[in-house]
Amino acid sequence: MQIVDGIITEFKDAWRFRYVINSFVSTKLKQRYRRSFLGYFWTILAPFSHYAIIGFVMSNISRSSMPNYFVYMFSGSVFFSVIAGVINGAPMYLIANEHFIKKIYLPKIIFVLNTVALEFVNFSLTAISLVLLGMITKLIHFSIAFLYLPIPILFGMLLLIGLGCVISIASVYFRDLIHILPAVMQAAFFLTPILYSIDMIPTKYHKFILMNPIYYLIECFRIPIVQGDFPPLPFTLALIGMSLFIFLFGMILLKKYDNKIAFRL
Amino acid sequence: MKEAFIKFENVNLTYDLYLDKTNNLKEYVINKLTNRRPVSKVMEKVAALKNINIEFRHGDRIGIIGRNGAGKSTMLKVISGIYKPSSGKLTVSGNIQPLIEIGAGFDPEFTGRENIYLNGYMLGFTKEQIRLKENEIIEFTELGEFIDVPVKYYSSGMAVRLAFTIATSIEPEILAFDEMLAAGDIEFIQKAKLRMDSLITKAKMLIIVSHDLGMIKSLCTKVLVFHQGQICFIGTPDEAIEFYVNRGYDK
Ligand SMILES: Nc1ncnc2c1ncn2[C@@H]1O[C@H](COP(=O)(O)OP(=O)(O)OP(=O)(O)O)[C@@H](O)[C@H]1O
Ligand SMILES: [Mg+2]
Repeated sequence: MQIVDGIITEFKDAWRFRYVINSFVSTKLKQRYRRSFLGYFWTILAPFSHYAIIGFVMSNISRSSMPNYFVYMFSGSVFFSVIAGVINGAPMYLIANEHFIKKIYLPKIIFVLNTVALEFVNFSLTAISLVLLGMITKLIHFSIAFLYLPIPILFGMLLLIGLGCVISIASVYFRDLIHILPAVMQAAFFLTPILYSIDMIPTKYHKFILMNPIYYLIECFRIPIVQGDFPPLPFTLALIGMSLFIFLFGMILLKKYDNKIAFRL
Repeated sequence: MKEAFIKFENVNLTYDLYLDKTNNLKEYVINKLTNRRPVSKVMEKVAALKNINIEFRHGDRIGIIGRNGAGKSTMLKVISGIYKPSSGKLTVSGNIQPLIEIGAGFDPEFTGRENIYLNGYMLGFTKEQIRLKENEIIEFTELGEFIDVPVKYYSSGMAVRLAFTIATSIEPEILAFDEMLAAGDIEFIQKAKLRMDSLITKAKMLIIVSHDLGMIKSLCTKVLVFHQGQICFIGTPDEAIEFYVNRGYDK
């Protein structure tokens, strides 16, 4: 219960400083979009072009027979790219804000929320544009299941807030995480069914995929878009369970290391 | 009206000073696997505040002086919540501006104007409150067109002007400053002093850390001398400065 109290206090505290997050996100967005004429398109394309190129090449090599493969691959990649963006960036959340942390009182969670919020605003803009584009080109058909989409997005944020806390704290102690994580995420990209689907791989490996929280996150985001259906209930439950678990774990770690971080930075 | 009040009871603050530069996962794993302990001493403790017991009350105008590394800045950081005491109890009542060092809330990538907002939010203002002060702040800094240039292109004096003006545009109950005006030019320092005066008359409690003994003398009514993490003298500005100048703590 003490832990729950601690987490509630942390969020109350963060609420007091909500305008800091607000100002951070809006200024960063303005900087990105204003700085060039193509700024907006660039932000949409840049984050997942990396994955899109791989997917494009793959789809030509493997001549996938999956219907709607293009949408399948794109929706998976775009969601994966926000996850990878947060995870790869997380080592710097606290380290890069050393000058704030040592000189001014701010709840530490602010530094995690800042970037997760920014990534998700960006992601939402990208996702909306892509869905619209898909609908114009008739690759995607509007479905009532779209109403489900806020669930993977919301729980994705919770999961990434938790992971962001864990990684940013760990990086204060292990500075080389920033070099290790991109390789891990690159591997995760291929180990998660994004370019392929789970039934294209032997059943004996399925249990590994079912242990991967990113899989549920991506499935729950992709099924409504690609198939126009609601994801099966066990997927939703797994998503919610895993996200809450990682979120709580991150918050507990943050509480535990809160006062030590400033000394170690 | 709430009384401003600060109380230290047996407060200690110990910094962990990490001497090892091997703070990476690779070496950590290798050391674990080969069962090797890192050779050099990993951590040293620096006791920056030792057993501090003191009370500041409503209306106090406190000055803190002492040699480099005596623990003055640490004292202010503990008061404003940046560091938690390692042991002991600290009670603070009254709202305190959480910014004790000039430019602490700046993001160098943001323009001056964006930093006014960011800083204002960090100090607990709402958007409307900042908007009301925005023009006054810009005018006082005399930055002109530079206000819309990222702060990383400012000279240190320009950054000080902006930081000082923002920090002094709020009127907190407890006002705490560390080395306020180090980089401003003469003209700005004079202007700033006038502004400080009016701010200080409004504040319920003032705590300043400075090496500028003249400033301490003119602003404070009670002065603490710090030495090696302890308060070794408390008195009127004249007594304390005399004690400090004559190195009374050595005797
Ligand atoms: N982040 C830190 N990590 C480790 N040790 C620190 C840290 N900050 C300060 N110290 C140590 O704590 C002691 C007190 O430092 P502090 O900054 O409070 O001194 P000060 O009185 O403000 O000095 P100055 O007049 O130079 O500003 C010093 O010995 C310093 O080395
Ligand atoms: Mg100092």
